[in-house]
Order: sequence, then C-alpha cells, then structure tokens
Amino acid sequence: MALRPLALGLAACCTLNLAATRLAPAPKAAAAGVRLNADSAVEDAALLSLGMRRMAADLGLVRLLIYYGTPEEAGVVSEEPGSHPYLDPMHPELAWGGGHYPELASRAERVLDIDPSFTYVAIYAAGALAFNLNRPDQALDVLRYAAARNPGDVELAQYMAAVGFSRTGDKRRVLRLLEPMLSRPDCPTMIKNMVAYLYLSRGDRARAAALYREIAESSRDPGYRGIARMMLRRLEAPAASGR
Amino acid sequence: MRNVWILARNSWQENVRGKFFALTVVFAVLVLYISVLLGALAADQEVRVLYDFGLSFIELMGLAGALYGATTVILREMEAKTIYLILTRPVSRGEFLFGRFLGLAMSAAASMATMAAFHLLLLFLKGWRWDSLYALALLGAYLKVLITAALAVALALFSSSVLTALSITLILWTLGHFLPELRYMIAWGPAQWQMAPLRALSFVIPDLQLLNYRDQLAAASAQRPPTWLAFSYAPLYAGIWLLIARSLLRKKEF
Amino acid sequence: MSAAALVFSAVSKTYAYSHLGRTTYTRGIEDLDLSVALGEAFGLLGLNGSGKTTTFKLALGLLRPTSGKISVLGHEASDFRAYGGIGYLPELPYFYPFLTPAESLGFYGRLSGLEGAALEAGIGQALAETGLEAVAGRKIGQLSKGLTQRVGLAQAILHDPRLIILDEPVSGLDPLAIKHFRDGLARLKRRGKTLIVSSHSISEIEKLCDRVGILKDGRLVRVAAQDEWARAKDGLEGLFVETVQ
Repeated sequence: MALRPLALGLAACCTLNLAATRLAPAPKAAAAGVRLNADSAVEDAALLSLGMRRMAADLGLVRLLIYYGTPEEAGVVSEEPGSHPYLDPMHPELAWGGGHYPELASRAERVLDIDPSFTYVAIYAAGALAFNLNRPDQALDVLRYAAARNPGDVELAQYMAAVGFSRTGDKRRVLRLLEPMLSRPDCPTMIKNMVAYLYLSRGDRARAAALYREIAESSRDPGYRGIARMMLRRLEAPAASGR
Repeated sequence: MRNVWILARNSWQENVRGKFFALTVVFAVLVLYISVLLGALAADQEVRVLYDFGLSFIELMGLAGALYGATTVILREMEAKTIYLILTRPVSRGEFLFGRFLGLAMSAAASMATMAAFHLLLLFLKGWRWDSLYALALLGAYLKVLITAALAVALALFSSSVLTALSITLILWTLGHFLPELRYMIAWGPAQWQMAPLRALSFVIPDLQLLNYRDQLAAASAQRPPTWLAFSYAPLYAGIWLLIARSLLRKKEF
Repeated sequence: MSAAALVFSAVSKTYAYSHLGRTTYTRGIEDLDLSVALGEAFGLLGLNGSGKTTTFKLALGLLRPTSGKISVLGHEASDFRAYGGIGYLPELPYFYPFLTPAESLGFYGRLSGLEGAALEAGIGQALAETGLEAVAGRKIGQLSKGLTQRVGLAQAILHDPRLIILDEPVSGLDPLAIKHFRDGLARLKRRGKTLIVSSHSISEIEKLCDRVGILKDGRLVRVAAQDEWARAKDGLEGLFVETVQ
C-alpha cells in the first residue's frame, strides 16, 4: 500500500523537525504581532507567506516615500524639478504650508512591525516629523518604537537625543549629535540636508557647500539632489540670498 | 551512480534545449530590470530594494521552474511512455528517480546562478560591495527550492495529479515559512487539545525559515540558526521525501 | 534441449480500478503457462484486449502478476539486472523529441551498460541495420512514423540482447517499411536471437515465427508449431479464426 512509505516518511520528518527545533529554537514572536497597513495588507500578507519579509518592508518604505512625496494640496509650483514643493531648504524646521501627513508615523511603525531591523525607516520618518513637520513628540515615539525592537542600538539613541535637543532649540548640540551620523552608509539624505542647514545657520558656508555637493553628486534621492543643486547655486552666487 | 548520472544528464539536456528554461531566464532578467526601476523609488535605500527584490525573485523563478519540473518529470514520462524504454533496461526505479531529480537540481542551480550573475552585475553597477551573506542567502534559497521539489515529486507520484501536487506543495511552501508563527500559536493557543492537529502538522512541514537567510540578513549571526544545521537539514528532509517517492514508484505499474 | 528464455508458470493478472469507493476488477490474463526457448521466434496472436501487451509488460516488470511466477533469462521478471539481456520495442514507441536518433541510441546504450568504443560500434551497427544513417542527426520529433518505428527497433537491438520482445512492430507502417522490418527481424533470427513478437499482421508472424500462441480473453487457448499451420487448409489465419471464434 502506498500509505506505508508515506507514514514512515512522515515519522522521519517529525524526528528531523523535532531535532531541528531542539538545536535551533525559533525566535520569540512579538507580543503585539504584526500589524499591517489596511491599504497593503493583502500584498504584505502574501509576501510574508512567501517568506519575503524584507521585501514586504521594502515595499512599505516605497509606499511611505510615495505618501510623503505626494503633495497634500494641489496648485503648488516647485522651484526646482524633483524638489518638494513645501520645503524651504533655508528653514526646513518650519512647518510646511499644507503638509501634515498624519499617517507618516503609523506607516513607519507598520514597516518596523514587518522588519524590526529596518531602522532606516524610523530615522527617515523621525527626521521628517522632527525637522520638517515640526512634530518632535511623534518623532520620538517612532524612534522609541524602533529602539524597543532594537535594544542597544546606539544610533537610534543618538537620534532621539538630537530630536530632544531640537525641541529646546539647541542647534549646537543637535549638530554635534548628527555630525557623526553623516558617515554611516544608511544615513538618510534628509538628515544630511538638515545638517547642511545647521552649518548654514551658524555661518559655516564652506561645510554646508561641501555637504550639499556630496548630496548633489551621490544621493539617490532626486528631490534632495535638486535642493542641493539649488542651494549650491545660491551659495556660489556673488550675493547669497537668505532670510 | 552511473545510471543516475546518465539520467541526470538527459534531464539537463532536455531542460537546456527546452523553452521553459530559456523563458525563465529571460523573464527573470526582465524582472530584475523592473527591480531597478522599483529601487529608484526607494531613493536612499535603492540598493537594499534591488538586493531584496532580486534575491526574492531569483528564488521564486527557481521555485517555479523546479516545481514545474518536479510535478511533471515522472508523470509526463509515464503518460508519454518514454519511461518504458528506461525501466526495461538494467536501471532500478530508484536510479531513475534520483537521476531525474539530480537533473532537475542541476537545471535549477544553473538557472538561479544565471539570474544571480545578472543580479550581481546590477548591484555592482549601483555601488554595492560584495558581502558573503549574499552567497548564503542564495544557497539557502536553492536548498529551499530543492526541498520543495522533493516534496513535489513525492506528492505527484502519490496523487498521480500534477495539479494536486502543485497545490499541496505551494501550501506547504507557505506553511514552511510560517513555522515560527505556527509554533508560537501552538504554545499560546486557547486549548492544547485544539492545537493537537496543528502541532502534528508543525512536525511534518518543512522548516523553510531555517534556510531563509535572505530574510535574516540584518540579524546578528548569533541570532541566525547555525549554518551546519540548516545545510544538513535540507538534504535530510529532501532525502526523506525522495525515499518516499522511490517507494511509491516501486509500487507503480505501467 | 534449449534453455528457456521466458517462462510463465500459472500467471494471472487482474486489474483493479477504484472509483468513488467502488472497485471493479478486469482480468488481464489468467493461468498463463508459457515457455519460450532460447533462439526461438515465438509469435503472440490475439484480438484487441486479449492480453498480449499485458503478457509483455509482465515479462518486463512493468506490471506485477497477481499470482504465478515469471522467469526471464533465468532471473525473476522483477529483477531489473536481467534487463541488460533484453531488448524491447513497445507498440508506438515514444522518444524524447529533442534528441536525434544517434543521441537517443547513445542514451539508451549507456543505460544498457555500453560505453566508449563498444557504444560507438553498437550505435553504428544499429543505425546501419535499421537504415537510419541518413537521419541520424535529425531530431526525432521531425521524423516520420516509419522512421520513428525504426529508431524503436534500433534501441531494442543496440546492446546485442539475447531476447527481443516486439509489440506490434509493423503497426501503422507502409508496405516498404514493413518489408524492411521483416528483413531486419529475419536477420536477428538467423543470428540466434530469441524473438517474441505480437502482431495483428498474421502473414508477418507466419513468415517469421517457429511457434505461435493464441490468446483469447486473457487465456492462452492454443499453441501451434509451424508445421501445424503449414498443414492447415487456410494456414495460420484459418487456425487463428477457428481458435478465437
């Protein structure tokens, strides 16, 4: 009968799986489980079921970038192709006219649920919330969310401190905390742009120009490349404009 | 072993000269190109997206080719009766089965390696630097494909239906990636007697997460399962199902 | 006394088909006692469904008997190691269409244990004997039915087997191809090969075989030697019609 080899084989599988479990216990699942964004739940669940957790997180990041890169109000003309219509690079800490992006924090947290090690999302979202949208409390929430899933991550702690000092207006301390991050391979261009602004605000045009040049030449973000080129033109113009 | 190798080479020839293998590689190259476009949307994380998407797709295409081959290789020979001229020679049914599986494994390795070569070229052009974890992830994906192919061969012989074998294998592929979550559910489920069927299932389905290095890339090496465990689990598990398939084939009449 | 190439001892084969919980049984062959000597040419005749192909498949281990014993060249039929001495041409042989006749013969020759110079010589001889030299490099998928049938014969004789089993070897062939086949089989017989042939073409069996067995509803109802049908009024055809009606 065909059932006998099948039964013996299944018994062998049981033994093998039991041995594998003893030798490599499965990682503990998060108590909160995985929460998915409503608009992408089916795709994310499908990718998770195919063992493509990182890809689901990557698509979550792409959706977050598209969300944040899409103007919330119509009729805005941008100065530079690819640049964000609300961003004043001279004052990125000011709240944008018309930009609120209420789902930014939750979207970042959903990506972290899928891939807790994807701290770039947290740093990007926190940077946008703290330095562009003027919502440092939400930025800290996102960073804490990431830190809870990556205990001992020094980088996250440093960003949390930077956001904390930005709340008090201590640009010098913010700069001191963010400068070491520039050399990290995963440093978001947004943070580099923020640091360039901080250099400018304390009159260090040379450093600001060097950072803008680096962004213009090597960043993969076309929006920030446009901003950097615009700022370089302003900095290199005979009379620099500014407020 | 000699007959196994002769049959493997014949399967390899068929796959290389056949259209499916070529179409798989062409389609995969196209999709890798699309992944470049997707990567551009990810701005700073372009390389990561290209890396993840490429590896995932190589695995899926390898799986598609291997599953198609595994579910049809023996059933097709039975229907076309080409099996008659092999089994009426001094070739055991086990040699026939292992030979065909070895040919399938060789074809899957070649197609995945070709796609990986294109993928690496794209990654290097985008400024990525070699990391040996890529090789680990690719090897893990390949071994997952082999485990699944062995399952598919056995299920195809058991059910004598390509569709049934494909469906069950895909379900097991999915469950194999959900095994840690299943075990969590079993440990924290409402009533243990209600969890008994699930527990039994968890002992049988393949632990594909053990080999899912692609999704464990960011985890510290101490948190990943030991490499020796993963790379001995795969041949053992696949071997069990190939032995089941051999027993089923020995009982078949033509 | 010649040793036996093939011996069936009280062999029966019943097919069981299960569908929706019901099992139906169909008799393939019943209580078959048959012995074919080495060097003999034995013909197997019967109407469609009489059990000819079943008999061959039992001899080759493709089917297992429900009861009885089968011995092929001194080995049990299920022992695949005996198959090195057997050549088999199934009815409507199927080949891998992506291979040429030469490549196919190389594949089957290696599986039969041939290698190197012996393999090359075997392929050359098989191609020559079956008149396939001109198409040896063309893909089998592009060959006509007659040529494909010849490839079937070529793979059956490639490894110089002692016993050759041919199931409807001339089925669907044109008269010229049939003659070519007949000549080939006659050459094999002269070389002392044991031939077991089934065919609906009684005249082919008449010309080739030393003895004939007639199957009816799975039973071997008659075995006749050449002199018996030579004496019969209507030859082997008359004998056959009289037996099956």
